[in-house]
Amino acid sequence: MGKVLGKKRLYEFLEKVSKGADLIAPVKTDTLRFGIIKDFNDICLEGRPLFPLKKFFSPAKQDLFRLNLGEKDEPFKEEKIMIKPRVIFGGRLCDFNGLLKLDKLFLSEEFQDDYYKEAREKTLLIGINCDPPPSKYCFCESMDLEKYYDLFFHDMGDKYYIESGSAKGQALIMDLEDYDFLMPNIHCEKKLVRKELAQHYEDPAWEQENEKCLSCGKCTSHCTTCLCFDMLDEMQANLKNGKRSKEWDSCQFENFTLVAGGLVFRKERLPRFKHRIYHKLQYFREKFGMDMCTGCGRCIEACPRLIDFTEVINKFK
Amino acid sequence: MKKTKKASKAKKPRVGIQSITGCAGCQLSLYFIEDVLLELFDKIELVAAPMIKGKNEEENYDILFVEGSVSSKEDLENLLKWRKQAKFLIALGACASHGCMQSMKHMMHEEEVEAAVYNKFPSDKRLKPITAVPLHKHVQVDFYIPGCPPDKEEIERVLKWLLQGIKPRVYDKAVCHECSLKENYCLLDQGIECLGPLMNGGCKALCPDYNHPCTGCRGMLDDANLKSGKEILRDKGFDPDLMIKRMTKYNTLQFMEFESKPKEEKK
Repeated sequence: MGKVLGKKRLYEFLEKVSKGADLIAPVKTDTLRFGIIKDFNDICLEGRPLFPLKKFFSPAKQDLFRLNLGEKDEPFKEEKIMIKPRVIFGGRLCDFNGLLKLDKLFLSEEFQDDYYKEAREKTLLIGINCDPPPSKYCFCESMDLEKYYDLFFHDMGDKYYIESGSAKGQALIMDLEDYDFLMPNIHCEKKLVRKELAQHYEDPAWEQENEKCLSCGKCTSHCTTCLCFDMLDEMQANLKNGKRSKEWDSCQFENFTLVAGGLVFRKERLPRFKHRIYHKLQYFREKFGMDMCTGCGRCIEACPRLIDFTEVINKFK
Repeated sequence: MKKTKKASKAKKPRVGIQSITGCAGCQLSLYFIEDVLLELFDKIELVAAPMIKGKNEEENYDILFVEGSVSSKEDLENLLKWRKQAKFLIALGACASHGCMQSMKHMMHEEEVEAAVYNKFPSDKRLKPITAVPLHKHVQVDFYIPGCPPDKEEIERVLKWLLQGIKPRVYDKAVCHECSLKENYCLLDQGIECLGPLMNGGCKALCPDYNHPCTGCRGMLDDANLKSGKEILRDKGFDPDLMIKRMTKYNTLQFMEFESKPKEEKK
């Protein structure tokens, strides 16, 4: 059983839950992006932003710590982590599932990214159901998404039906009116037929799409879950102090796999092209027991050639 | 061991900038790093910099930046001379790296170009041009800082790397990558003829950031998929002639190399 909120009271509700925090929601300027809201009227819930939410958790370029050469006692001084509490409103189920996959990576027991952890803990997730799917490239129905959110809204015309997915979320809607309703599932026209990918590595269908690929990296930078990064050390002009930062990289570039000694082990375009999809649908599953892809279709929509990997897989015999 | 280290510390690396046919804007971008210029120049001995120095030495460069493309006999003589004197030669800017606009004439007949420009001065023999090419067509180039003009921060970064004894790294990711990190609304989606997917970034997607299409001043990607790139532009209904002009604005030679032997996907 969930709760109900009249649309007229939405801003009031958001103001309450985002008190002392940044409210992040889709904003439409020239195109739709997730941004920090200053005026509630800027919030735009039509369509889904082509740019994913990951930037709020691991920015495109992030300074990690300062380097001080020559000071033996303390070569690295950790930067203080300063992230304001945040409320994300208007994310879709695919966006939040993207975070779930990133949590697996960055909050694993072995390795933890402190910056990511801080950002993640200070963020409240309020989603909105897709009815109908916001893009013709969506195929999340095939991806078994989990109910991963604090609160989840469903648009019912003049009101929102709200379900909670966590104790934190439940506490926020305690005083709202109860409502009996079954949240409808998302139905996408586009489908991905699940197959055992390992058997199809040499399938000719890969080559057809690969010929179109420009290796521009738009698929990975728009992906909700792609978070490969590059490390950069940059010194100041005194050559003593500097900083180490991390920057998003992409497996689609020729020199992504450059290792010491000059070897590039995925030099050709085809293995690079396949690698992204195998990582999403096979390697990640082997490690964490779930697909890395959330079926948001952003990689297809952002691609200059609209390369659609679901079609490649659907073509396999 | 310790002694030699000390000795090399006392002796500052001799850095020079030399210029052949170009607009000299690349040299100027180096001086634009005003915030750190003095501090950085303190660590080097600037032996040649024609724009800011009266007396310029021509020998023993540890690091030499050369801007401009080889476009005349004199250019070639100078370049060969400098190469012999330089331990580490950096091609600075689009002309030195890719040939830039001077090399556009590769797409035309030499006589046609020469007649259009030099017929007015038939007696002046100095004006006899040769085919304009980037530096690496004549000498070995150790590193490239492309761009028209090159990014001043990159020049600073490369210089610092070299002073630290680190092998510099070239930025070889597509313009689209940096552009989408900035969350720009894709110009191709807006119906503007942008060449981002084919071109080398490192410019922080400066042009697309201001809604100006990329024309590739930092050169084409080593593995640019020109065939597919042309298909996008055709699918979007852009004028093919205009596209060829855009692609060859800075990168005529690269474009012709791609055209003459399209890179096969090796297996």
